[in-house]
Amino acid sequence: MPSIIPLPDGGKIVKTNCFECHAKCGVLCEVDKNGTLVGVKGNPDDPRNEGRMCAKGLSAPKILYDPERLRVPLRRIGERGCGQWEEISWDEALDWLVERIQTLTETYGAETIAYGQGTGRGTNQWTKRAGNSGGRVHHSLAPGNICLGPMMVQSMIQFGMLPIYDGCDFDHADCIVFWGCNSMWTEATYTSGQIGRSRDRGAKLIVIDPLFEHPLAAKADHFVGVRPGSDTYLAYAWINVIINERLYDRDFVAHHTNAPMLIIEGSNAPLTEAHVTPGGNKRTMLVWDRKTNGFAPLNERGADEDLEYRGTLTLADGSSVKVKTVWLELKERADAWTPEAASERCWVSPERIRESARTYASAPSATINVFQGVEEQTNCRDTLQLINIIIAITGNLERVGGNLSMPFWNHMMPLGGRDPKTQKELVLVDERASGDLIGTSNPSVVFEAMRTGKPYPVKGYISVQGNPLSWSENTALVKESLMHLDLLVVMDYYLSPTCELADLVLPSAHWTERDYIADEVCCEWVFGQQKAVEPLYERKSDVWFWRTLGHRLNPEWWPWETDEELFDWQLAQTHAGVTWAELKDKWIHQLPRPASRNFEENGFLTQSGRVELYTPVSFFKHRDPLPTASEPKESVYSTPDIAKEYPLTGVTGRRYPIYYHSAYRGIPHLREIVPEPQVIFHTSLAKKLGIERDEWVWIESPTGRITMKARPSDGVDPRVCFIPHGWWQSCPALGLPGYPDGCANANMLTSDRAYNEEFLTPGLRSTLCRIVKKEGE
Amino acid sequence: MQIHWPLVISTTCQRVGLGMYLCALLINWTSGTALPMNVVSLAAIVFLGIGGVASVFHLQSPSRFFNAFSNLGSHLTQEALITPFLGIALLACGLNGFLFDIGAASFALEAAAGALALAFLVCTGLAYQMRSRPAWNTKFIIVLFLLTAAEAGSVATMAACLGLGIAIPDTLAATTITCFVLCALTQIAYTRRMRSVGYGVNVHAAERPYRTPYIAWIASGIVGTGAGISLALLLSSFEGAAFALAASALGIASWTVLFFKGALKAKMLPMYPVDLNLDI
Amino acid sequence: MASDEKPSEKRYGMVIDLDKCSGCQACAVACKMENDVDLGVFRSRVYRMGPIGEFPDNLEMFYFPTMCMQCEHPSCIEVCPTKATYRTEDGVVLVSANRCFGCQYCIWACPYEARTLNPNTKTVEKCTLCIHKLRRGEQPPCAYTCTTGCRVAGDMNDPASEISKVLAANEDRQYRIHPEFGNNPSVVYLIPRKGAETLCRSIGRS
Repeated sequence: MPSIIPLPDGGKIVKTNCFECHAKCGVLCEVDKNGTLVGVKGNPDDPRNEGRMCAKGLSAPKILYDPERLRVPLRRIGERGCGQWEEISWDEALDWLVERIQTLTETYGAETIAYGQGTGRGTNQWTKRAGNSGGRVHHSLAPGNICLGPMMVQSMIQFGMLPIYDGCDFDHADCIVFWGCNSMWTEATYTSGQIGRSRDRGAKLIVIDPLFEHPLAAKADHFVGVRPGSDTYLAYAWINVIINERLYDRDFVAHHTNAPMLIIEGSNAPLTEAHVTPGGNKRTMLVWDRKTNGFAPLNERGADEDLEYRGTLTLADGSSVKVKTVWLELKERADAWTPEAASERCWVSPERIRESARTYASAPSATINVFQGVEEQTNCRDTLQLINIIIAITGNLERVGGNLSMPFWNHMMPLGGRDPKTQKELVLVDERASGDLIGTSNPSVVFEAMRTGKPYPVKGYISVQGNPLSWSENTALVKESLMHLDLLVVMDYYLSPTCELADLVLPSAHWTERDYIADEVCCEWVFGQQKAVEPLYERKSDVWFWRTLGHRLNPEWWPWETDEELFDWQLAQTHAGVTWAELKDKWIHQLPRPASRNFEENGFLTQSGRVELYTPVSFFKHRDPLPTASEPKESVYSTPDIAKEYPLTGVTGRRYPIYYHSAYRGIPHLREIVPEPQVIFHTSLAKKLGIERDEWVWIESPTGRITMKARPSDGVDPRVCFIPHGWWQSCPALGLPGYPDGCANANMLTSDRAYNEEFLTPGLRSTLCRIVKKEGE
Repeated sequence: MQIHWPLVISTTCQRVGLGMYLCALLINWTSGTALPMNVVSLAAIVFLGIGGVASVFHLQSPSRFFNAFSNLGSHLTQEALITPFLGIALLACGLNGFLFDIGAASFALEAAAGALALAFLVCTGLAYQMRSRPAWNTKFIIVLFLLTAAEAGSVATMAACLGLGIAIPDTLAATTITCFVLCALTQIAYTRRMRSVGYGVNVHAAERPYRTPYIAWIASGIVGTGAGISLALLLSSFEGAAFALAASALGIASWTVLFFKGALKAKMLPMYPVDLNLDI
Repeated sequence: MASDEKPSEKRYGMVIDLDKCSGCQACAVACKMENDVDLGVFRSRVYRMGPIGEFPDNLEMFYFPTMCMQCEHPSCIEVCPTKATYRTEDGVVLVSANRCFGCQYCIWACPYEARTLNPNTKTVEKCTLCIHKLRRGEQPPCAYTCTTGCRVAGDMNDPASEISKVLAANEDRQYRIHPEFGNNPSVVYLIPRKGAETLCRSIGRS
């Protein structure tokens, strides 16, 4: 069936995909005969949302025609941030921009310009490509370190796929776990309907979250009200229960993970063939084969791997070492974290830990959905590795009703092109977070380079759909940094606080105004996300901008003359088996399933071909290849001095179902639903502080201070509070104010003092803070 | 519930005016007093008129006023239907003796106007009896509307007597005292009932935000009215009676404010000690 | 319940499964979009009960969408002096905007907070169950878009309809708000399986 259906009155229905968030639900756009978008509803033919659609997507016509939206390119006149603009044409804007980029590059080198985004609108790979095509270094000044980067990289290393996001098989699971995420609101597309059906047929539900206001908390068989950032203890305690109560999938663990791999006690280094056989391969890791009573390569088929092997042996060099399996090492570590021991640190009762672990591990199939609750933590690598281990040892990987691979994630990264050779030397990192796994720059150090010119000057920043004054930690410092730039270009829907500081502001086309490919978070499908209406005013699509700018700067990297050519290249690179013209016409196309769905035959796309509980990749970077029960770097336990002054553990960034990050506070019928920012904290604390509901209070941290309305709740630990993010925009139609100078911006509070080493992640979800009554105001 | 001021004014005026008319009529019949019914009727029309204008102000689209006659089952339609007949009857009574004199037929005319006035008051009372608001889900409402009208009406009749130099008949004195006491007792009983209407909407009249109209009612409706009645009866003071009338009207108005404020809608889920919320 | 309607007549209604609702507000926005509802007016809203109790193990919370209950015996029709409010043959209560004069009497009388005075039009409005959609065989947008699939609308008198099937399959969880008022709503809630223990106890379900 064609993707455009004419209506008798001269209008049409356009089958396309929403992009009010990354879930990209299939939609039917109704356009009248004058070319006006009159309505949007879910497309029942999308196997993910089945016609369902959220409040944001339904609001698309109001967002498209919002009079506050940017319309034409604006160039700054007068001082930076003074709010005076001249309207210019796109040709003028591009000429000016290309000239500025070339001048800066000649003066300081290509690394002086950072390319980036915020959440982006599906252009991750083009942002990266723009950076890489500079040829010196790619400073991706984007929030990948707090959004998807850690999850994706850690899962790719351990599984060779990303199965904990759109790979959750909610529809067939017997037990569903939400671990630090609320996909019921954020990815309702492939979550909510499926969860309802599964619960109707008796699936169990576990919600691991510090906030009982999670929409499934009250419905869950187990609500595990964990302390923010203490998931490592909880996860280890789960592993403790799973191993000691023999709830793991022994066959999967022995044959499809590297659990039987032998490691040398003390150094925890892998025992390799080179250790035991003169001239043996250094990269061949060994297991103990019970069939032959001898060592066998990890990758050898048909071995009867001994999971519990422990022994002393003499190496080829004559030294004697003790060896044991990864499995035994994991078990020993887990044994230290009995539910009782973990309980003290994660504030969950031992019974709840034990029972929830049993419920998960004894389900015939179970799926764990993970997101930023555990990701935006300074110990995120340990937590993510532990959760991945739990998924693997219970055999829930690539199992119907478990966590499944989805093709897009393995295809996205190559689209950005190869990293320049100079990337390694010039990438900006510091000793607090070297960031060697993700291979990109630490945002806070790039901001520092803007301010100080060290180690080399970063003078330019080009951002598409990004507002670092909302997404980055320590907003005050970010603002100071941006003020040092010689070139700030921002392409967006609205004149955001970051736009206000820019030299050039470019108007982004809404998803209803642009052609693109919907692929990421689309499970097994790719969609032709064609425009429903012609772009209004001078708005252009983000892809058009990157392609056109790229083509002018470096036609070798950006050879495409039209967007359609680029789409065809993208579809070919991702092995979609369809052209843009075909896809646009048929709208939906099923992608080939990843090979690991049949892992018995094909193995996994990891270094060893097995699921890696123990990750040698990080070991080679001198890190512990197995996770530890680590504490967030700033917390009530690790920095008691700070906690004495700031006793609350604040979770910033809890989502609303009607807003997308900082977007849409200006859409009146949405703002009506959530008119003001509210900080959630326990009723008893409110009583203690003499604070009434709806009273404006201060929220203070070592980094800064903001104000929000008090919302006492019974559904939160008295030692924890929740601070929403994204509040800057006003809503003139309702007469509701904006929040200038970050006065209600959660990131004014967040710390830039500590980061996760591997993923450069700040602890946004465990920010030490306090709530203070406003006196005499 | 929010206070609908036009309705406070209109129901107060209607009760004072129609109560006075009915009371004067009954006193003339029972005590042989010669209160001039034409004057009383004209005064009642003034009250009814003020009330009527206030009612129209309550309507959001007053130009559609004539739609009000559509639903015979609705007490508001009934009220609206009675109004023109009541107005004409009262006007005829008011002009009787001035423009024309219908002599012996006056009795029938006055009686008809009285019946319409009573019907009007009954309809108003019934209109407020509704199950959605536990405080109003009671026969108290109609009783209260009639009793308040009777109290204000008897006080007004007393004032009319004293103003016209007519001695207050014993029946009227007894009626006034009885109505005053009964009315106060019924209002107190209603206030007590509000404390335990259930549905999560119990109201303690002596507490915020009900306190102010409650105190105003006690001050004017009980203390002020009681003092005025005493003065009028003991000293045959017109000023006392006029004060009692003003206090009684103010008491009814205060009471009506409390009556509106306390009429909270039954909670959807009254089994919970907290309200439904819109927090996200 | 005694119904005085002939079984051959249609009775449109809705079932809302409180066990599923996630409070995402998609229904509220779908209603605004479909009916171009003015700012400040809500025909369909999602409230929440709780969280109430002790963290973390002794808490209740559930979402509670509200709308016109499309009563079989509507209090609003009883009191409306203008007959602006009426009930269609297929059981839906509607307001005729060009008859209503804004006396708000129906707002007071409705036990379910379903009606709002529109400050712009000066008339009272409320949910129509999107009868224009139902009559075409489509679901109201609130039900169509519901991200959890917790709403189903249809003819409750037709045993083959989806709503009748859902009701039949959940006999033990059916609950009409304030049955003692005798309005007999056509919006039937399915009580939550968990997280609403106080509600369940008070109506004698465990």
